[in-house]
Amino acid sequence: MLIQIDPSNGIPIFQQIIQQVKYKIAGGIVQPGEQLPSVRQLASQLRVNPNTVAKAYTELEREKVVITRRGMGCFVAETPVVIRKQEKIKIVSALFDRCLTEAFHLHLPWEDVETLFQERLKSIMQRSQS
Amino acid sequence: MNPPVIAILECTKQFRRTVAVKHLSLHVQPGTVYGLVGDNGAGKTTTIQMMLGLFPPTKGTVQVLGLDPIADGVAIKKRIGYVSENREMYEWMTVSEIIWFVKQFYPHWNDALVEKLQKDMELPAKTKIKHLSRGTRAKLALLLAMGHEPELLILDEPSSGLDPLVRREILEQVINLIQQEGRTVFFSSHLLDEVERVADHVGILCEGRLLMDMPLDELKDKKRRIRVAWDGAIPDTRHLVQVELLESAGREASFLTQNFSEDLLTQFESLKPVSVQVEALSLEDIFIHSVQAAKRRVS
Repeated sequence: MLIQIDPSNGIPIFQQIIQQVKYKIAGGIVQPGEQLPSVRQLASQLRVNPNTVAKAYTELEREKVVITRRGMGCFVAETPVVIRKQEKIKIVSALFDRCLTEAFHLHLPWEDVETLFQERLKSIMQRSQS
Repeated sequence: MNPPVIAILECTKQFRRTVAVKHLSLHVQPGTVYGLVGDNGAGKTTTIQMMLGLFPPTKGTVQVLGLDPIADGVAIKKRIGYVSENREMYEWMTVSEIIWFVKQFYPHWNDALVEKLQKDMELPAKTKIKHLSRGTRAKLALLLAMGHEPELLILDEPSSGLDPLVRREILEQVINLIQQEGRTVFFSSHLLDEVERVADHVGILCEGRLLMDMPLDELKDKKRRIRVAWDGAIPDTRHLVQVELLESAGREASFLTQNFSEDLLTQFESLKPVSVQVEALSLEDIFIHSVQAAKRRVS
């Protein structure tokens, strides 16, 4: 699993890790039951404080995205991720708003935004099926 | 809570007419990585030098590992590692000579670790220090500070003047060190994305005063930028509370808050904006805003 973080973009690093692990799982790059790198490995790989990685893992575990097996490490949960639907909608809406604001400021016509959305959706659906 | 590794209480340090540090209080808990940031002349090096017992504070107290840095200097130096900003070393010694030399001061010196570090960081054993590049010197200085496996590692500007490759290597070694249980690191820096990567706790120093001292996560939760846009002219925003106007241009204005909560956003509603966005700030933004605000208050 390769994670890219950007310390200067403002979003706390542990949140960047959480987001990316979720994306990797959603995109099928990391599969249910698969083992994630240890805190130590990921901290060295990303050159960040191990406490930051541990915090991200704890949060992912709290959200039941991953499970920690004592002495064995951290694994992607077998059962689908349980996040309250309301919560999911809130997270995704915030991201949509950001996109839409950008589009607005760039004067991209709303029709184009809609087409683009359909296109992206189609491409990601294909990827997650294969 | 465990006793702090470093405890500075109401410290003031004056050199003739210059006050380098004013009423400084800070505590570093065991196992944390504390990043002290500040512009040039903010008092970072003075703070570190007081921790090392190079001189006493004019007022206030400093304790390191529960000891007095001046009275218990030798006891403390056995348990801490230090890399100074200028990385002074005996120029005429070779790399292996200085490793041997430094080793003599410490009853517990980890030869295996030093050998490994020397290999990992590709330090040439037979080269004289005066012939080493700046980057290699920095790596050697770090190795010499780590050989006795200190409980506390103090680094004064560990990556200033170094190229990105060496910075990365140094950062990796520091991260390896903190992977070991209970090690504490205190470092000063003005490379803020580096601080953001490794620090648990951040102190912002400006003109000898500590403007901010809190866990990095808390700092990032509280300080946010709120970007608001209207479809006409910007209305009067002076009555808004807990937000400070940062800048405005055209139909957009951005505000800074020191203590963010969702409730803060409701006050914008009456101003009928077309969009309100809350943005996280990088440590660099936080640093610049706090230092500028502090300097404005003084002038």
